[in-house]
Amino acid sequence: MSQATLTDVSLDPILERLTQLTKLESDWDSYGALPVSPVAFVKACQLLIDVKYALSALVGDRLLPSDVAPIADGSLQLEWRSPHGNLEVEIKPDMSFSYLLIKGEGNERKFEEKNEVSLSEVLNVVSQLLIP
Amino acid sequence: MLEEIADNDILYRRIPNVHIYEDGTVKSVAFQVRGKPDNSISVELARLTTPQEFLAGARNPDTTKVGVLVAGYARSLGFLIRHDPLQDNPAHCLIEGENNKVKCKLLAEATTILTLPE
Repeated sequence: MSQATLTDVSLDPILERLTQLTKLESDWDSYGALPVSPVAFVKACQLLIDVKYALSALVGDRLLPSDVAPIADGSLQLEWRSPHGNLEVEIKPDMSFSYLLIKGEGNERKFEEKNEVSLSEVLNVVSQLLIP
Repeated sequence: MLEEIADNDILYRRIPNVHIYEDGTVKSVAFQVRGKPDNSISVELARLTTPQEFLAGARNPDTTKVGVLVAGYARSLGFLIRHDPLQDNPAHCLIEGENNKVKCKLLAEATTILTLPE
């Protein structure tokens, strides 16, 4: 099986999903949610590009998040799943990051929660998940 | 009159479609508000409303589902649950207490999406 190259992995589908989320109007969750912040959107796109450049040659299309979601304060969440665990990365309107890393299964699950982390820390934890 | 919330009481929370995975399970972000895990989560007491009434209160009922959570499970995570009736919403309750991303994840995993008849 040939290894994916940088240009093989398209971010277009995931960027399209993020773009769709920016169209949500205020109170989209019925509990007073804010629209997705343009700052969070741009920062999420930048994170995806950085992940692609750092990992595409190593993991191919596994670098693509399995899910994206809006958060009520205008933040965005990107989620990665691998056989080694799940990672939820939150991109906030103030450009900060936080994450929840879940490893293991059932009662053996281990949770690692970190707030106010840097982009390089996020790239590191994504790498850890996808390249154990 | 304030209701006592029993461990086996059912609570409803509105879950927008964007907070539901394709397999029907709920995302942890459904329990995040105001930029951090919500320390005061709005829900409604099932025995004082109906799923249809509850859903009708959503801003976008067509893109919202009814999430079902058992009160005792939220308590097992350290939350307090109290009846907090509002003038226009006597079923309103609050799940209160220190919250974090892990608890949001566990609450989401314990939430079931109710399928309503067409």
